[in-house]
Amino acid sequence: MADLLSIGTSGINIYRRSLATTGNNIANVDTEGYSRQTHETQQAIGPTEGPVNMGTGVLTDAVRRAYDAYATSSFRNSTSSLEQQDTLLTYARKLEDILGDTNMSMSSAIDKFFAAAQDLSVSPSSTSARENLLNEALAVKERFKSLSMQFDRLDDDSFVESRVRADELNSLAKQLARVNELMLGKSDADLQANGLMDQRDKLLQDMSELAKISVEETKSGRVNVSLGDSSSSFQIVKDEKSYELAVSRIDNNPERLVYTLDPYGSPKIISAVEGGKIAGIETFRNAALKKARDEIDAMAIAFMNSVNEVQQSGLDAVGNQGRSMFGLADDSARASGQLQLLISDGDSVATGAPLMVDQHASTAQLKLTNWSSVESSLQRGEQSIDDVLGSGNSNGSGQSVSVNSGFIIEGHSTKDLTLQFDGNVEIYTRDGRHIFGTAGNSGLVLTSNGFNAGPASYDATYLNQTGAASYRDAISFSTNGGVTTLNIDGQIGEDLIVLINGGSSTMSGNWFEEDTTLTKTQRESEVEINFTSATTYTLTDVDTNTVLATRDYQSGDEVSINGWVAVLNNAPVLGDKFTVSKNTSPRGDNRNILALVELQADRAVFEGRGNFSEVYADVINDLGSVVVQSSIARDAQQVLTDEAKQARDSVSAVALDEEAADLLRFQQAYQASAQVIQAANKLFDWIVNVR
Amino acid sequence: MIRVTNSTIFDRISSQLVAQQSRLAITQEKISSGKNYLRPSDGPDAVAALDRLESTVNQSEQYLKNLGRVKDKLNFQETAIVSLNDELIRCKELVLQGANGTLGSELRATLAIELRSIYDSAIAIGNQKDLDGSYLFSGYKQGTPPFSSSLDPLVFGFDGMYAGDDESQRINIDQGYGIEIGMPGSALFSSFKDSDGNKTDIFSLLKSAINGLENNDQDAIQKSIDDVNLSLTHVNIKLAQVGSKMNVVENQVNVLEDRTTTLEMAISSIHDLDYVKAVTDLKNQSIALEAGQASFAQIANLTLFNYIK
Repeated sequence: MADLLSIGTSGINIYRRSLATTGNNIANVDTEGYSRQTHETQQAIGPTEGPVNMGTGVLTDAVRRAYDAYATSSFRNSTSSLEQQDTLLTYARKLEDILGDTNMSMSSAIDKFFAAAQDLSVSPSSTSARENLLNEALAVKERFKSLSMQFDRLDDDSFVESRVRADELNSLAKQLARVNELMLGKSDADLQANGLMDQRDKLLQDMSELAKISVEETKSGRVNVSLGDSSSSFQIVKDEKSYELAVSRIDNNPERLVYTLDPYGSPKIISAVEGGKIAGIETFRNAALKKARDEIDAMAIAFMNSVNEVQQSGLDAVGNQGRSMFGLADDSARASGQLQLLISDGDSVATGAPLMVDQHASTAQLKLTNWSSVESSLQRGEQSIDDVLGSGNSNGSGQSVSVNSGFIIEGHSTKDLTLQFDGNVEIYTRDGRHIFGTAGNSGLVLTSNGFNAGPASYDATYLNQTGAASYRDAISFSTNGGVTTLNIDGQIGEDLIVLINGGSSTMSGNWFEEDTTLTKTQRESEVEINFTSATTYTLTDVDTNTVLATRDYQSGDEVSINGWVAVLNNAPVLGDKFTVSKNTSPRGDNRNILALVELQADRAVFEGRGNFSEVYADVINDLGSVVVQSSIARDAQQVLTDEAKQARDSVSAVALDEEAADLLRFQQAYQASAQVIQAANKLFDWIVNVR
Repeated sequence: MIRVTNSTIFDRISSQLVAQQSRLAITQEKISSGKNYLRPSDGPDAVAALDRLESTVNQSEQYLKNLGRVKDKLNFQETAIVSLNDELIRCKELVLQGANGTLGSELRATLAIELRSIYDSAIAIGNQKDLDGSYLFSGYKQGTPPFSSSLDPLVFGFDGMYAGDDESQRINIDQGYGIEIGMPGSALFSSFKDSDGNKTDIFSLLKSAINGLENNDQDAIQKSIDDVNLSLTHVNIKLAQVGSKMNVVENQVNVLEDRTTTLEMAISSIHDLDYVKAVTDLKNQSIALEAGQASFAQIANLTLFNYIK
């Protein structure tokens, strides 16, 4: 039969436990990872006596954690995404602080360099203006270098952090493996200690801040953890074992990080860590840092190359060809950190153009407009002369007279040429000077045969001459048994048109890559321009007294030969004469420095992307956009994470009001149970006191 | 119905307070710096535009600086050419006096003495330097005095006595806009024709006049009158050229100053903070923050435990 005393006692015991559970909930209201516990009870059923079955009190069923596996795991995933965005944003802001700092602005340093170049263009002979340009060049170099050093620091900091984060992950994995070990004895998750389960979930949550993990929970409550989405390939915790994650850099791609799982056991390379702080660092390095560095490096290289190119096309103060202003200390490392100033003497700044004009008090005025086009206007020669003949190259073959074949000897890539033949061969310059051949035929001098438009005119002054009387003092030949051997001494420096009619010819000579020194020598050779009428002029090579060309002139025509181009400022008259020769007073010449000044606005420097200041503005703009985008993404992810946490908390966290109500409820139940005991006691007293 | 727990309440309130505080801090930073954009992410496009605009202003200012130097150089040139003109006018007077048929050879010799000093003055004018110490009329050979009084142009020719070259400096006064400001001595002192249509120069002409007067050569003196007139025309053309360059410079200064003003206004409209709006924002944000703080205090007090006595 039901015993009122034992029923009361069971109530007292149970509600003391309930009160303890509530008390524990209240005590842990602020404990991270704590899951609210409920003391679940069930009625005690006594034996059936006759028709009735009486309850015998209350029993403890279980103390349960309020836990929802889905809410917990979605909070973990959200946390990984948030931490990734947050880390990216933190680092992107650091990069922004570096590049956005106006004191560090690359464009202001480059502007100052060009301002110094402008000053120098106003006073090219001023020593202080020359020194000042070099000082600003040094400042540009230092600016690139200090940017590069700040980038290096950010690179190191983020690399060290990724190692620290990996170590944290490793330590958490180790602890989790230990928890798994402690859980070993029990076969069902419900039987595991609540504290242990909370510890397990807290460890998983902490791991998800570092990297995105996928968790596989077994029936016993033990968990296996892998990196990334899939639960198989990269396990870091398996039963009671954990595997370490190691981070390292690659030499040839310093921004890229390599992750190795279990480096001391059986190493596995992980292509990328997804989510969490570790992935945030990776994203920053690959997307923001690498991009900014690449852009700044491209800028350093474009600046260096374009300034060097201008320097090299001019003459320095003492008349030497300009030398490169910048170089790279180590061209395998990042360019911005390796820039060097190669010249330290103001006189080495190439302010002058290589050529100058003597106007001979002529009515018209000759102005050089270009003197650096030699390389582009003249082409490299064929690989071998056999290629030309063997392939039946009929380059320049004309229609008006019977010509079997013809080819062009490119002047800037032949030297000491020997031609042997037993047929008819005619050799012309592009301007129509017939320098060798059997029969002069002015009808061959056509643009379609490769002659200069302009037009080239037939001239036999040098035909079959040798020695000093020959074209450019370079031709000699001899005939032996029907075979003629023609020698062209040294480098003739201009293209020759060879037209062949019959016979068999062999040719040999020296073909070589264009030699810039020879090109320069030819460009600087003295040329006289004589107007034989208002509409005709001759070009004479002064050294060899060779008339190179007779050309027509119309208002606006360019005069060009040897790779330079000039124009006449007003109409020439008969007797006007000009001499173009090597610049003998480059110190006071500012033409080359004006070419340097033009680089400031030159969009070709960056393949049309913009000039220096525009490209730098783009870099700033891009970086600003990365910060804005990652900030928006972070804020959005924050909202999602807050919601996920609320969802988890609404299941698992402690609500004090609820506990207060429970406290009252269990207190009252406890009091009532005490009354039951008292009632039992009274019943007993009454029975004892029956007399 | 969602179960609201204590951590939810505290998390939410504290994250809201943090957000309000950071908004307030940003507004405060803008007000104290007076700038709309403190870092690129505050407005990537605007910050990039500012960078470009500032670079353009820097360039305009550099061109203005160039123009200042150009003006100096042109002033020097003008002064020199004006005095050359004065000397030639005096020369013309002397030659006209000398052409008077009744004049004796002694008096002609006296005139020749003054003409010799004019010749020396012309050499001195030709050897003038500008502010930075470079010769005005020697082309690129800025360190070389272009004329020497010891070389007789009638013996050596103008080319023989002129140590400069025919080049003249060009200076950029705007993007892709350069003006030639140099005037080689060969262009100022020669490059014109005498009364016979032959090329001549001022020094040869002065020397011929001196010789004519000293040798009492009436024909030579007559020719000198015509030649001096032609040289005056030539020098006046050169003076007019300098004058027109000065006009170009003046106009360009105005153009650049206008441009700089416009650009600076554009920069200021992007860059400068709208204080009225910023202060209003600050006020609203601090009210919001205070309200947040007050509501936090309220909600934090709201617990059932207060009523369990």
